[in-house]
Amino acid sequence: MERNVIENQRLRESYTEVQHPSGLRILVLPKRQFNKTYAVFATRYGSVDNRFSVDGGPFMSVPDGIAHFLEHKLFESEDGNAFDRYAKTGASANAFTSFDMTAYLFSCTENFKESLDILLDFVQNPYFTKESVEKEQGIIGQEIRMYDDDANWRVYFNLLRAVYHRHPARIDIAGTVESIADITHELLYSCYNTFYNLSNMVLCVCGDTDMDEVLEVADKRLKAAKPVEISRDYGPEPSDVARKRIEQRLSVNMPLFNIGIKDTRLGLAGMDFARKRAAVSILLELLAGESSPFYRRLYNEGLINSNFGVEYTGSQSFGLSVLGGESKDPDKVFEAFAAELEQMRSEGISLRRFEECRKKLYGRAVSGFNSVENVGHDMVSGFFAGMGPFDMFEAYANVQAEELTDYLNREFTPDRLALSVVLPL
Amino acid sequence: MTEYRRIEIDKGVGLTIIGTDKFKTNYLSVSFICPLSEEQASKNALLPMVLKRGSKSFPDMESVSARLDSLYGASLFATVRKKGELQVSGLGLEFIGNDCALGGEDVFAGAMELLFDLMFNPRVSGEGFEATYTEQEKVNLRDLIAARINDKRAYAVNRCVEEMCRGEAYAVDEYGKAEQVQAITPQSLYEQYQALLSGGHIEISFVGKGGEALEARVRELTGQLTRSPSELPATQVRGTAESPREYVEELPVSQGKLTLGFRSGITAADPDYPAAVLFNAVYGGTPVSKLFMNVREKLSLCYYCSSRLEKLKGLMLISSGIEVENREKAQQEILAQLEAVKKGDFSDEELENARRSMVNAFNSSADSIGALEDWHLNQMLAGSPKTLEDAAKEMAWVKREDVVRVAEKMRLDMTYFLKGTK
Repeated sequence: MERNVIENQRLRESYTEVQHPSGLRILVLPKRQFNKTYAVFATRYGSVDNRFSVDGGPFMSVPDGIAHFLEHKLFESEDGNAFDRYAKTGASANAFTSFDMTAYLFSCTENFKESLDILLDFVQNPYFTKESVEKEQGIIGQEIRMYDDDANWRVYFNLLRAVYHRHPARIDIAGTVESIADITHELLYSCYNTFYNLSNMVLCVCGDTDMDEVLEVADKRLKAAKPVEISRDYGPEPSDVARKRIEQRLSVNMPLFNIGIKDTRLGLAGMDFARKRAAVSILLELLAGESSPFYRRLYNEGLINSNFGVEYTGSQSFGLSVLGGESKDPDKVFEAFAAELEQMRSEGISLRRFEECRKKLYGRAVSGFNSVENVGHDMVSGFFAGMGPFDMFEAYANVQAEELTDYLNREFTPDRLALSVVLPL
Repeated sequence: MTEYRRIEIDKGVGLTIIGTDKFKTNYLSVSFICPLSEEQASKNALLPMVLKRGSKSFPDMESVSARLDSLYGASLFATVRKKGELQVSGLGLEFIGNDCALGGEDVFAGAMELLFDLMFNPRVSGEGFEATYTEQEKVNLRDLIAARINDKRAYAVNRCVEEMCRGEAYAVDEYGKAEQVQAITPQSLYEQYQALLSGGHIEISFVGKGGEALEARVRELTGQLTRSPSELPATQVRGTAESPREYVEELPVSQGKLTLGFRSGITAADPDYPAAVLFNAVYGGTPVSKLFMNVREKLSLCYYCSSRLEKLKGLMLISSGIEVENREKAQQEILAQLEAVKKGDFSDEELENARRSMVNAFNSSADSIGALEDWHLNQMLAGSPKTLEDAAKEMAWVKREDVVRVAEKMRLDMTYFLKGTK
């Protein structure tokens, strides 16, 4: 088995990558000075994957929320629950489902190999029954209702509904109470067998360990399976937003808002993806970050407060920039931002500010390496975009102002803007 | 390897260097340490918030912000903490190490100069701080104090402490009260600042690589000050309580919050402190503790029920969120579980789970810059300068009978109940 070792001199870090005989890609980034170790075992299967075909067969659609449902159920086995097993080894475990992946993880300061053994075991051994599915429908129904009341969650998901005509990113990750009623244990097995194939998954580890230790457990536990070929259908998606404005009323003190800018430069991977993310993130910082004239002006006018932030989010099949915060008058914030875009288009990007913003985001990316959880998490989400753990550093270091100007002129256009607002009752 | 070193630069001026090259960033903080008092608390809390608004070289938010960006996104924040009967307030700055700088810039030197300029060279207007900065930050501080009431879980703990320690300095909240904030003027705040510079203790803390470079600069800066610092008062610790008291408060919320305040009389310097740590883990400090397994899991009386130690004043605080009608039962069960520990009614497995949990917690803390800095400050103030590694190792020596002996020392002083009336 060939080991690929990649070093980054400036960061003084290195990681090892292998293609395990079982078909699983394994990445290990040792941080021997740390006491904690973090491991995450993930599949490229998330809430957007609601229509797919396997090995050239017919396309099938599945109920909204099934990937998240599956995540909950995988912890159960015939003789108990994975959490009980972790209690004996002292690991702290969790899992999450996002738009494009489902991840199972733990962190620990001792008994790493024992805990890794548990992780690889329970994720590869599904156990779904009619009774356990029915029980979970009630529990997840409660979880969905909790998110329905969460203003921050709703302002973001409403934005996605406004931005996307058809792309499944507009679906709630946990689905709805109605959609999960259609989930059966047979459907769970069907999705499991399709997506939880080692050729569609990855294991990322960061902390006080190394590839030899990880392989000791992997060699014992990983079960090779014939790789499957998966085709995913996200539907055709126009480049403009579906609706320019969407509004909902909830019990909040002050209106919340999310401004979205739809990204159509999709299907990028590896360094191309990293460069895009770096360029857009720096551009957002320039336009509306804490040091920007826009931020200071609106802050002093009382239109935004220190809860305002900007971020680029997305995966390979969709992406958007989000500016979010609280305001007495979100529509005014939106107008001011649209005007700011026009102004920067006509004046051009200040090179001095570009360099300052580059440095800030590069520095923040460097600080991320202080935490094994952060590194592990970035490794796994980066992997599914074809990126290695050091790609974002290189991208921030090398991106040029022209790349931002290109985005400003061709992607941050009026037809790509949408506003989502949550108003008080 | 993490190395801890503290240098007494001068009377009342300390420099703590926690040397490690584990992290990609370094952390530098400058704090004033002074007695916790009702009259001064709000002024001391407001001070760093105003100081970070501008200095002589960086006179406004725009220039401070631009400087932080060019220092690779350095993070600047005000810190206000209660440590026993002392108030610790100042500024902290986290910044990347020089070896990560793209152009070979000396980020360390830039960060050090920025922080020292903000702390020691503030922007002054006439006889006081900038009026707009003072007024804007007064609003922010009042909002912060108001928000503390919104977090009912924390509120119930603070109120228990306030009632239990009424008449003692410890009863004072580190942010003071909204009315006191209102009364502050740019001049009165500046006077307080000068009083701290000349009479308070100054602690400079550093976590990361290259801390040795600080000593010379700190000596130079503090050497220019005319100082006559007073001794910091020792925190009053007692291990006894007269008969247990009760305090009930009503608010229009739906849930009840129960807080039990105990005097342990055991501080971080006490040879029995490691035993107290293990006792706390067994009793109510983990999701497999007696309180969690019985009050929550077995009897379903509460949403949360946990205990924690306060290591400078020598207290134990139990907090629990319950339905109002379950108050009596929850209180009884909490005390019954304490009696159980006193009788040695816990298995070897429970004891070893607790031990493993605490070793894990100490070792995990060493992976966090913030936790490292706070740990060493606490230990220094308690007069017991040990490392997190030391604390983890000490867990191995605590025996079952030590846990039982510490349980016997816990004296219930105050039962506080926040009764929801909705």
